[in-house]
Amino acid sequence: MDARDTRHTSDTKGTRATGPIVERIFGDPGSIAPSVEKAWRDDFILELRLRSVNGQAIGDALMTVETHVAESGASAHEAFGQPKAYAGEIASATAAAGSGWAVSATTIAGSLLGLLGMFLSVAAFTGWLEGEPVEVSTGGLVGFGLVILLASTAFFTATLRLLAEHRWIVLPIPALLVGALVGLFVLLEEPLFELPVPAVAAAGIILLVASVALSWAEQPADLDQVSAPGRKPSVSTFSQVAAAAIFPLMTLVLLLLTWVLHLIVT
Amino acid sequence: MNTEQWPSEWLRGVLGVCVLRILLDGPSYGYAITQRLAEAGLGTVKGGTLYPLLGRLEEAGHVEVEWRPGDGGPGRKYYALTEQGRAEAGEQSARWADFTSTTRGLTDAAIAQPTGRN
Repeated sequence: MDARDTRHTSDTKGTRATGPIVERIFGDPGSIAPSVEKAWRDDFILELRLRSVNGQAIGDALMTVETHVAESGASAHEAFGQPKAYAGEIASATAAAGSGWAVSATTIAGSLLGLLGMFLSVAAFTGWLEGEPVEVSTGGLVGFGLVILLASTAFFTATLRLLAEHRWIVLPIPALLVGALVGLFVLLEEPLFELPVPAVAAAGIILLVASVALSWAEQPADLDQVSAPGRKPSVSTFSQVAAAAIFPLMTLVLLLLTWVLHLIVT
Repeated sequence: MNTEQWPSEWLRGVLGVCVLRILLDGPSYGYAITQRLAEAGLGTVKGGTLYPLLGRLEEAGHVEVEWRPGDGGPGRKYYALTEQGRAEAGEQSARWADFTSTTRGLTDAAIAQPTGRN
């Protein structure tokens, strides 16, 4: 009994698909509806997000469920049925679908530039550490093309829905991807051409800056955060910067890893 | 009080006019509306049915909504009829009365009939 109570309390605070850092940046929608079962709440929010309902409309719908559940004593499942079906009903009844954040050409361009900038920066850094120019092989080019292709498909709602609804698919993907890339590098290792380190570094930095500028320009001021009715989303400048500068931040982590690996190897 | 559950397709048809009628008495919130419907003998109407209906009424401009803070609780979303909604409530109630007279004109005879074949 005690164990269940404790679990329930922690459940209402956390979210399954996200971690505490993500919550600190994007807010915790769970705090709006503590009486609603976590699994139901997560699926409800996810479905509304997939239908591009804006954060304030999601907060309103979630709060409506919360007050009804709290007053009637029924579970969300009893009173509202399947979360996905109910989210669909609400989205179409209120014409809120499509009012929130959705993938646009700018999103895709910003992310692909960021990805490219990240690869070039890491390649330049590796070349600089080893004192050699950046070597471009067939395997490297094909592998990069593959990554860009896979990353692009992630922007389609159908892909997002597939990944969200069958989360087990996500698990083997990184391993398969790394395996495929290593295989490509080994099989097609003959160098095609060499590029000077400063040029690659400069290109990497320019692309990263361009990706930040595009993300910043497109990002809504409130990050489309789920917020309770009558409350303004509490978004700090830090959160906004972190959301726009995701690729430079990831690049810094990769540079650090590359450096540590270099220290170990040499 | 009639606790009989009506066929759901009947309820779907009549729920809109009933909710408009309840809101004629003044602004109300979701759970209170389900209680009024239950008291009227329509059985338990689930939130999953009621809120999309209220959303459509709001979208059509028949009701306007306002969140009012609760007593220490999470607050409630109140639905109030607009002028347009008030007119709609009267009009739909009159049409519903016509509709039920028409159907009763046809079906009442079945009540008087002895069961089985004539």
